[in-house]
Amino acid sequence: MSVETEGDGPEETAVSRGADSRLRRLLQRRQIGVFIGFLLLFGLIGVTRPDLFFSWDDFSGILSQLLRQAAPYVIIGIGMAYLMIGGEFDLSVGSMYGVAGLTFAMLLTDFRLTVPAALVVVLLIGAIVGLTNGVIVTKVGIPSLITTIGMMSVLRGFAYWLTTGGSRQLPDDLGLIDLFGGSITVAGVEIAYMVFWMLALTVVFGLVLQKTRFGHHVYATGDDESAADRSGINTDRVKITNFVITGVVTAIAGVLSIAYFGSMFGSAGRGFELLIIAAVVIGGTNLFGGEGSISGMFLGSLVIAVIPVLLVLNGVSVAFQETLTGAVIIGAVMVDIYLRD
Amino acid sequence: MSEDDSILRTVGLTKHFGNIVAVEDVDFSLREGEVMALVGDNGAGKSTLIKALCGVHQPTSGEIYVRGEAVSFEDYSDARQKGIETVYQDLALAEQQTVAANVFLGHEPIRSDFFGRYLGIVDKAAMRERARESLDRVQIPVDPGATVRDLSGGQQQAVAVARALQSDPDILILDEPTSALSIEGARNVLRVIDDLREQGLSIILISHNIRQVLTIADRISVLAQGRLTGVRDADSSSRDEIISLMMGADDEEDVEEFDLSPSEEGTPA
Repeated sequence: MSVETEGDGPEETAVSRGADSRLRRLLQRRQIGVFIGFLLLFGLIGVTRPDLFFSWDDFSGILSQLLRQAAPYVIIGIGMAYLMIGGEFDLSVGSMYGVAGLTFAMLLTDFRLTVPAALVVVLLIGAIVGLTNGVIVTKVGIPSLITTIGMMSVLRGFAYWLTTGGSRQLPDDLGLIDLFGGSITVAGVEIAYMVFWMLALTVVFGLVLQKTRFGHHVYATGDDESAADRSGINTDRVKITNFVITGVVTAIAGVLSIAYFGSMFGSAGRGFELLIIAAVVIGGTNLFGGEGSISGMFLGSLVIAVIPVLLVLNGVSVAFQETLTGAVIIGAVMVDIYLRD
Repeated sequence: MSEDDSILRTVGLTKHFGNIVAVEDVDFSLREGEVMALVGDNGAGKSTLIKALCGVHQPTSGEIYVRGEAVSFEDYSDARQKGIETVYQDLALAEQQTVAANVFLGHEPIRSDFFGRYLGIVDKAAMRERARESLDRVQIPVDPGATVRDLSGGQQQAVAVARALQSDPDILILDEPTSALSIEGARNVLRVIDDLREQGLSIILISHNIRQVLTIADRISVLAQGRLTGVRDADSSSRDEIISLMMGADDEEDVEEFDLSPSEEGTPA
């Protein structure tokens, strides 16, 4: 069996040959496969815990939890998808996420900035971190593996310094904070505002990738950098922009998270990088670039988010959860490589 | 200074890489509307010469003239601005993207409405339509919506040529366009070269295949060990003469044992 992924390019493929082939093309798309995978895992909750799954009170709790779990993965995954389609990746996102949330808290408490001012500063920090990664990778020529592992460590150290080993709280009575950390309840399902931010960012960045000239250049850069270069595409600029996008969306995710929970540990976001790369790959992005989509990454993030929910509900110990999650990720990537051949 | 009928000309072109002399004192000329073949053994300096002509390498010394005007190219885009386009041996295609995306790689048409221009939104319908026109020009049927990696070698070559024609060049450099093709694919590409000459393009064709070159080219320039060892009219030259020039020798006795073109008919793709 081979998976048709050509619809994942910037140029939605193929001339229409009637409804039949249109339906077949739709079914061949990666997104459908990933969505079915997600439904199977979600359905497994119903099989293993029918008592919770078929009681609306509990089911709505599971849904809320799932959306909240997925939101940071999706938001950071936007940047990671851009990077990976463009042929790079960023391992510093987990640390950046923590630094963003904790710096936001520090600016509000220690410096008494307003929420909008603190937000702007944190987004700027995200952009500068991304710019630094991008310039080191493209201009100095150090591979992103080394550069972003280094950045991961630098930022994690900073996160621990900000918390002196513990955690930080947001001050009470902040104006406008509800815009980021609030939630509404629809039919018993609590939907955090971060879920709406996630949806908005997904749509905007998904459109940019599919519709704009920049999006085309991202695909071309990851597909064959030398060919893109010779066509007059400034591939360094494309990659640096992708790193900056990643830094900024990661900062947004960190702010949304601390705004919702009210506090954050110095260890926040540890291991996110691997989970998010896995979400992007499961969503159909070629590990070597040139192919992939935001919609696929979105569904891949749901898969990654549903696994711990499933395990927690079945009383699997935290230690074993990590092991199992890692195994699922390796398995998913193996399946991906197998399907591509 | 330039010969009247040469559209592209080098005088004393030399390129060193450290102590290695890749091209030495080459006076090369391309006349308007001709197919000039450039042949030579591996390491003879063909690709260095070509890379100097398309802006990849800057010559150590010597001059390049386009229509009599001295030029210096910093990169590909400088050469492109002077009307020189290159189809690289590796084709430089983004294989996971569509044919249309490749034809317009780096030069995607933008929608003309306000949002289109402001946000840089690609006009995919125009891109497909214009890609189809370019592909019609090379007369090899390719669906602009197909993914490049699904195409045959000959079709991929056609896509690369169609892209090169997009900027409406005067001079087209084709680097080993038939080396990886089937007999049928190679024949198609030779027909395309012939058509483009009819349309008035001046073409430099790099090839290992002497028989092909004698069939399609108007003239043949031969390089050996970085030097231009001869320029011949294809009509009045022979395979043996070219091969002896490629060896940098006038002695045709040695030629027979030296099999330079094992795949006269091209290798299967």
